[in-house]
Amino acid sequence: MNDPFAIETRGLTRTFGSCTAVDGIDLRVPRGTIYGFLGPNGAGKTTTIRLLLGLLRPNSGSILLNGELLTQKRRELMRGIGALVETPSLYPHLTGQENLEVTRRILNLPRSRVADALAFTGLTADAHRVVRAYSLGMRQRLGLALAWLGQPGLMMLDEPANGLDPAGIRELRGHLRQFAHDQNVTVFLSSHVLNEIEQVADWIAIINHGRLLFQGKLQDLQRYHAPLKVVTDRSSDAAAVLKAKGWRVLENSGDVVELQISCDTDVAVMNRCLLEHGIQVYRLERRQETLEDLFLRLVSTSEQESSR
Amino acid sequence: MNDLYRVLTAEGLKLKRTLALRLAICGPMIIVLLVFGMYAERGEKIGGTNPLTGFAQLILTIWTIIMFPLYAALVAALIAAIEHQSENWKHLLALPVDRVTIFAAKWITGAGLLLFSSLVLSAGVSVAAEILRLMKPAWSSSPLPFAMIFRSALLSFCAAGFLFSIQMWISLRWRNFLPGLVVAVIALVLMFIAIPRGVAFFGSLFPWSLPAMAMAPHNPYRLIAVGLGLLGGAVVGAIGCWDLSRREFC
Repeated sequence: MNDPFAIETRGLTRTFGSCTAVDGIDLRVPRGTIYGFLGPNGAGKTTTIRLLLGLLRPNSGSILLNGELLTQKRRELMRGIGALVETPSLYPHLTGQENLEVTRRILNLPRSRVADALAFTGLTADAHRVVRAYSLGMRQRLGLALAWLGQPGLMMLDEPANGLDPAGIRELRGHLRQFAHDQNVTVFLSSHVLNEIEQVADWIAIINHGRLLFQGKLQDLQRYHAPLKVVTDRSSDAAAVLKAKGWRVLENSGDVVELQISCDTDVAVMNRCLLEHGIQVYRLERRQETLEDLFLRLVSTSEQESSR
Repeated sequence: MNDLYRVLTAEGLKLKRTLALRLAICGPMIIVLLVFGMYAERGEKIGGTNPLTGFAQLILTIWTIIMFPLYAALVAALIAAIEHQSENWKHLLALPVDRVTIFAAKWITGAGLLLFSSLVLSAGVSVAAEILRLMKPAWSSSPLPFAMIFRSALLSFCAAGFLFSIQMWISLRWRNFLPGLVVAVIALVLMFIAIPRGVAFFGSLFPWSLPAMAMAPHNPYRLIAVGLGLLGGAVVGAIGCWDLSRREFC
């Protein structure tokens, strides 16, 4: 239980026939954080969550939850996990209260947990209606209640905002913050709604074609992956020199050259290179970009690389 | 054992408002009412010397030979559909319970429904026979073999274990209900071909003919049928649970 990571994967890989859905990913999810797991549709997010829950078996690699191997202690580890995978798993012929009661019985929880979970998700008034009559948003909230029922230390939520109206989304944000910051629950939140992740996540990972493109704090994404703006006295010459040296020049207009540099050391090397060619560097700064810009850039770069 | 009990109580709750539960009562009662209608209307002509025994035997025969194998297939399909329909496996199999326990609980729930329907049938036959006795004073001295009714229904239920386990395995393994239905229909046709041709020993080995063998009081293979039904049901059930617990349902 002293492991700093709630989730850790090593070279996690899963294929379906010739398609590699998850390709050697190494996740490290720190405890007590909201970890946004971003990726376009079909990137491998849901497959990853299913692997983490033991619903699918990896072709290679390992999964550690709270420092323990999932394959060795699945049953014990699952006791501390609540999950909502894609659409909530609900029995439409049962009421909201009965749906929670089914899981409560299996988990052997006190009866009061059902009422607590209903109250927490604002479903007390509708607890005795059959789920078939629930709206999409109500089902999503019941799915969240189901994940939270066993008071888990780790929650894996796959697209939990699906079907929620703006008020519901705001409420969900509140719940997620409450889980992570008040109850010290680690929330592994998969989504393709960037705005949502940007507002709640402490850490993020970006996945595309099953490969992990980035993992770290949101600020680090901005710090290392936003294009670097280099203001010089001769931008055309600077661009030519940098291209010749193999740097990825994104734009060259006015006195500014923009290029992709991820590492601080490379910034110093690039700066020295320009000075050696007699080009004056006036300013170096990262372009301020939204998560959406950064996400799209990373994804399009990976698309280009995989099509090569 | 505690886990199994807890999962069973959850399975019991899942049956609420389901067709499977309604059928457990309505299925046998439809047969009872149908034959009751026949005897109430034309009992004097078809009743014979011992009309109430004939009444009970006719119901048990229709139920055991035709209805029970189809009903067992239907129960298996309906129980599996509770999870298949809303893709609930991903929640159920991620809970901290052994997968074998989850599937074993499904098996036991299904078997429980079959037992319940057998008891409903036995009780229904007994009550309907008493009503017939009141309706027809000439039958007041006709004996009603309560023991035979309950014994036949229970032995048929035990002998149906083999076929039910096969149906349950198929229904849980495939999301589509067609494989289970096709197997049930083909098996019934085979049974109707085998039994009238006197393939008695083959009949006693064929899972779908076991309930009929177990029901017939003078059949020499009666106990073999019951034993094979129970043993086959347990073995296929165990293999099925093991197989399903290793499968990926998502």
